[in-house]
This record gives sequence, structure tokens and C-alpha cells, in this order.
Amino acid sequence: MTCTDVREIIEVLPVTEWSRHQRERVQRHAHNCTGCQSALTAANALDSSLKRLPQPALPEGLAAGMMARMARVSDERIARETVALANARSRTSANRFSMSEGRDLLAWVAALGGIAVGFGTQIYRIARGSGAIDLTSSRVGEWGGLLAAPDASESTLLVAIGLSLYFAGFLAPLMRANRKRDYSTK
Amino acid sequence: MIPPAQAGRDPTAAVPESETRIVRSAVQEFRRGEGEAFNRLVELYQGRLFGLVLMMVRNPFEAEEVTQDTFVRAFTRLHLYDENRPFYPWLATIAVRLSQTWLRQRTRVSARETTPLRPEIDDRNAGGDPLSELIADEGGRQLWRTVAALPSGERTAVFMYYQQEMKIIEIARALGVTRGTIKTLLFRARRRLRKRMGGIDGLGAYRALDGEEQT
Repeated sequence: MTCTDVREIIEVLPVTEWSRHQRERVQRHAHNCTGCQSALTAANALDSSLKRLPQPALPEGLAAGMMARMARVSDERIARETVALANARSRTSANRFSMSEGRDLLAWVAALGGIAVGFGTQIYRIARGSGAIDLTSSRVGEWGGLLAAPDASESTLLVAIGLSLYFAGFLAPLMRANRKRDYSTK
Repeated sequence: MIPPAQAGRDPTAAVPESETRIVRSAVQEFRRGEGEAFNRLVELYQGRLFGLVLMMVRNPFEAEEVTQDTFVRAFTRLHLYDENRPFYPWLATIAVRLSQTWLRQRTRVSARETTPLRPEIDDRNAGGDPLSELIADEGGRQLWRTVAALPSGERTAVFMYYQQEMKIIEIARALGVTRGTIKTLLFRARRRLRKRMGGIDGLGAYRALDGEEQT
């Protein structure tokens, strides 16, 4: 190992970062080379000096100022959380209220009414004997008896009304939501 | 005589057991909702952190502000801290980012006003030498000034490595660069410092070596 190699190791990295291999090589070389021994001493001296870099004293009022700021942040955070909680609660109660609003109520009644009329019609047909759960002659499948379109009779009209009310009940809240979105983008 | 190696150590080995215990209990208590527990972290690290920020921004008044900002940010983001890692490097990362932001803003202001803002001038404007109030020892002050005169990245790397005893990988994470970059910064900084600190015992040898024929 030449002096150039040793000086390169000494200069490139702080002594404490050398690998075991580098340390052995430098130590072996420096043992017989006064110049490199001096360079190594100088590198150690530089590293030792830098390790003695002082820690400055804290300015007066730093700690107090910091605590005050953190207390303020903490208070703000609590206030924010309280407001957020209150908003969430009011949103929940507003939702509850909107559920009981006339239009929503109407939609729900329409949907439930549609279902009741539809099923009622089917049951009425079965009771009258004009319809039956006939699994053997089903057109749709095993449960086709329930789903099969009725023959042309008064029950056909009732099913149509029932289905219309049922779908109207579902569409009403959707239309309302779209209207709200339109307002909010204006 | 070659000092012991630093590379390949256990990542938490440099952190004393008592410090780790204090940090862990404070963080856990804070997460349980006991905000007061954060004060223990402030007490533990405020001196060390202020030193780092002061070395970066080189202005005691601004360093005070940035240190406060750092703790406030850590306070609001403590839920993001990974307890399996040492606390100080995480805190130092926040401090470095805020200091860099401050330095960038100052550079912009300086460019806009076309007035060179140098730390010595800032100090004089503030009245007296604020550094003498922070570092009582004249030798220490001189050493501080020598390191503080290095370019931003170099002085930060030197300070974190030597004074704060952080590992190269931790410094790299804090500065958002690679380990190779930190090694380069340390190399350049040491080369500059060797020239500027020739008066230190043993360092004069370097001067002699510069002109010496190599074997």
C-alpha cells in the first residue's frame, strides 16, 4: 500500500467510518511511515476537534415560548375537534330530520306501497284461482310462477300501478340528490 | 492510534437506554391523550435541536423561531412517528426541512432586495454578538464560527455527524439525500476545515504533507 492510498483513505472519510480492512492497512502502513503517521494524527485531531463543537445555551424564553405555543395549538385542536364533533352531530340530526321530511316520507310510502300492491295483486290472483304457483309449467324457472306475467285481467293493471309506485319511490330521492348537487355547483 | 469504528452498529445503540425509555413512555402517554407528556420530549431535546437549527440558519433569533416551529409540528404529527426508530433523527428531519424552507425564503428575500444578508451583518444589526451569549467559551465560539462558515449542506452534515453523533444513514434521511452524498459533503467539509483549522494541534501536519513528496 502506497502513501497515496493511505492518504486517500485518511482524507475521504472520518476515521470512525473506516472498514476493519482499511483500519488494519492504514495502521500497518503508518507504523513504518512517519509522513502518514502525521497525517493520521492530524485526521484524528480534526475529528476530535469537531466532536468538541459546543452546544449553545438556550436563549431565555425559548422553553416558555414553546410551551405557550403548544398550549395554543392544543387548545385550537380541542376547539377544532369540538367543532367537528358538533358538526358531525348536527349533520346526523339533519339527516334524521330529512328522513322525516314530507318528500322523503312520500318516497318511502310510494316504495312500500308499490311493493304491497304488487305482492297483494299476486296473492289476490292466487286466491281467486286465476293465478297459482305452478312449478311444473313455469316459463321463467322454478320460481317463475310468482314472476310470470298475469293474464289480461284487472290484476294486470294493479301490478302495473304497484310497479310504477315502487320505482317512483326509488327515483324520488335520487332526483332530489341531483338537484342538490346542481345547487352546490352554482 | 485509530479510534473505534462506527459503521455497522446497531441503529439504537447510540441512544442511551434512559433516553429511549423517556421517549417511549412520553410518546405512549401523549397518544393516550396526556398532552403534558410532550413537555418531557421538549426538555430532553430542546438544547440539541436548537444547536442544529442555529448551525443551519446561523441567526439566533430565527433559530429560536424555527426550533419552536419544529416542536409544534412534532406535537401535531406525533401520531406519524414510528416508535421502533430513534426519536431524535425524526425530530431533526423536521428541523432540517423547516430550516431549509427558512433559508430558501431568506435567499428569495435577499435576491429581491439585492441586499446581501450575511449572518455577521444580521448579528450586528441585532446589537452585540448574540453568539457570545450562547457559547461562553472563546475557543468553542471560534470552532463554531469556522464550521458555520462552511456551505449549508456541509456544515449541517458536519454538525449532525460530529456534534450530534448521528449516523450517516440518519443524516441522509434527514437531508433527503443518499449516503454517498453525505460522505461527499463530509469529505469536502473536512478538506476545507483542514485548511482553515491549521492552528489546531496536529493539523499542521497536513500543510507539511501537501508539499511533501509521496512515497
